[in-house]
Amino acid sequence: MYTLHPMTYLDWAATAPPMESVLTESSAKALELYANPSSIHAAGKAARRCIEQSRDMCGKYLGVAPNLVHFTASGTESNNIVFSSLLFKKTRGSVVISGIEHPSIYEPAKMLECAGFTVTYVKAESNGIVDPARIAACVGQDTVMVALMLVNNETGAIQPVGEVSHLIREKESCLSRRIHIHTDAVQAFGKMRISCDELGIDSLSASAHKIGALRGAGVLYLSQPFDVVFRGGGQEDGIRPGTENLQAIFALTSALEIWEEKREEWNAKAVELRQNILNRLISAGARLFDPSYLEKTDRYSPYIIMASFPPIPGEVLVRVMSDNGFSISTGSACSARGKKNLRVVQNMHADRAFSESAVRISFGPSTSESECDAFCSALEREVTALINQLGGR
Amino acid sequence: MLYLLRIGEISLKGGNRGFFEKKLVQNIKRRLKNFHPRVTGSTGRFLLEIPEESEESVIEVLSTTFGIVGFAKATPAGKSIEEISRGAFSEVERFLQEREGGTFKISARRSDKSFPCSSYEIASIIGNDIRERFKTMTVDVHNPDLLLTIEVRDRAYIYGNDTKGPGGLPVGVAGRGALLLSGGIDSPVAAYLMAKRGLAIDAVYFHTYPYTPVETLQKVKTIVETIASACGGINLYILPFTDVALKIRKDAPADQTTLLMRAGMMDTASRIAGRRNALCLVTGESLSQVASQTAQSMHFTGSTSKLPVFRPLIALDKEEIIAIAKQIGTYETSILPYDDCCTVFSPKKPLIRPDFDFMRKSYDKLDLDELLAESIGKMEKEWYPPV
Repeated sequence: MYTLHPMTYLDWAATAPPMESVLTESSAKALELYANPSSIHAAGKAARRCIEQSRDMCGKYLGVAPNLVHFTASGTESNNIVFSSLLFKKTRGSVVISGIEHPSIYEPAKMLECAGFTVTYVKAESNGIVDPARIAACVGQDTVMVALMLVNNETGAIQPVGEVSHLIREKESCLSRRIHIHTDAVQAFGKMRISCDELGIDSLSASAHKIGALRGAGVLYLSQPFDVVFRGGGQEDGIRPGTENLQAIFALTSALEIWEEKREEWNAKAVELRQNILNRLISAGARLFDPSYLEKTDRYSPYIIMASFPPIPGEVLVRVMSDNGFSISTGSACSARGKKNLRVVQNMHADRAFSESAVRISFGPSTSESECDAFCSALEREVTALINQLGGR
Repeated sequence: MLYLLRIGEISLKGGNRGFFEKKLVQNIKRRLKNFHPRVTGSTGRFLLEIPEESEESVIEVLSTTFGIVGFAKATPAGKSIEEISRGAFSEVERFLQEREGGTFKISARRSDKSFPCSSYEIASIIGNDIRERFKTMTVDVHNPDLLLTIEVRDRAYIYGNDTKGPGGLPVGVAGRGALLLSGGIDSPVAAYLMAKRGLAIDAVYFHTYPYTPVETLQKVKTIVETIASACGGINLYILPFTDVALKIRKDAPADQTTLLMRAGMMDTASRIAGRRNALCLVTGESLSQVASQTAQSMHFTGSTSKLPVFRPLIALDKEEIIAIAKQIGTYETSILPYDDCCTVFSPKKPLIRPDFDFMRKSYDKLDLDELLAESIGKMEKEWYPPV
């Protein structure tokens, strides 16, 4: 048992609060369709139908045939399945990823390095966006895979995945073989219209708990099946064996349906909130990593804001704001516990002062203007007090 | 159940041996008080009488109470060869519970000279009895699997191989010291080593929230809990130190921050020590490990203490310190990734060989008296008893 203090939650990019209707409906489904979806009796078939309906829904959203959509346990698992599949290749090759990827891409890439692959890490430009030409330039004779996330989880920068694919496909004609292009779409899923065909990708990963569904479900789109490390009962076409988590899968697609219906409205509101918050943060002394962050709204997710208040260490500001009842974070929640992880910001040419003081504010559809207002006021007050304490040095 | 305890260094003490022995008995009794133990003894040996159900606790306590060099479960017997023989048999049977057979040696001692057999005769008779009764036991006087000791005193006591105790001196015989505890690897080791020399420990932790997280404080508490038993219980003093650290950061040159913070901590700890009648400060400093641990730096930082500063790790390297930290069980907690000092208080280029007079002037100029007194006024105390 634990007690949550009354708080304003501004850490949606880590985990979005679950939608009440999604929780209720998925709990009812769990009670109703508890049979194993692989069983051939009527109860098992009913559970199977529910999962296949969810698959249809995901396929429709991603613009792909449902049989290319696989349910996994998380975005991290989806990413790992893709990277570990390369271990089955008879010859080692090279992999190109951006330097701003989530740890669930970065660490599997490190694992491939240990296994004999060459991995090239491409930095983002100072605006947080990777230059497609830089990635294409790193693709060589032995490149087997390229990975670029769709929306960065720390800055919200939308990455030019489609352009990267286009350039790589052009190169492929000289190489006369296909290079696997993967995108981690965890922060984009539901919040952007996604067409895997238009993006020109071979695989995509997503996660349920970032869009108001339950933890324990992820999505993996695969244009073609491949070998996987984990073996078992053959579920999900053998890509992710293990009994399907029906409740979490149902919740995922329920939440996705709501996002599909409300996306335009919610995004428009978020763009406005983002601008308001950014303006308030700037007047409170925030440093942004690039001027375009404020101006070019179409290049950044409206739900994630990164700002920095040197010399206040990011984690100190997070603690102080938490004491004030506001949940924000430093960088990625998956790496914020413990030692500082400044890799992402430093891979977009940010200086050390900016990196050490960067915080992430992320919100969602139920975040209100008044909450943001209260947050900005508290932040202004605390930043002033902390800067005063630290003497601006 | 009867245990025989060996007390090594204490038995070498002269006129004040009684003081050391009394403290050891007190420490053992305090840790085993739930079992109402009886401790008696003299001339380098103590006997602990305690109910049988306490075995697990007894082993834990005896192997972690400073002052005990070794201990063994003993069988008492009447002062006749037959009774001693029966006692020896039961010790051999205890030995054979875990193995099929082995080699043995008898070591006999007779402080009661009225006993009719000499030590040599006791050893020969009992040795023969054992060989006859236990066919799997053979004699090896050089490297026996079982060293069976027979002591004839007020009664006869027979015991097998002994378990190693931690050695050292009973906690409390050397008075009390105030330890500067950070949550890192070194200071818990320093506390342990000083407790081993008989020093009772008060730990002082300087908390700079929100610049260090509450997780660091939690880490410190876990460390104190881990070493509390060996140290005979620890008082942990938690001092809010943010205002002091901020004042230093604001008013002193950046490269002096670490040294001045350290000096402020020594100053504060020595004030707390004064209130507790502590005789010294203890730190985990090791020569040249970091900038604040050069001879020049320690000359300055130690100068704000009115008491001597004991630095038991001064000549140990990191590997040696880590080995002890692992042995006493604090290492895994110490390496948890929660900073014990925020980057805002850690200059990129701290002074390494500071000029003493220059630093003293700098410290005096800060005039921290009032802030240190405030910090002490707000300190919290937690008692971690030995278990």
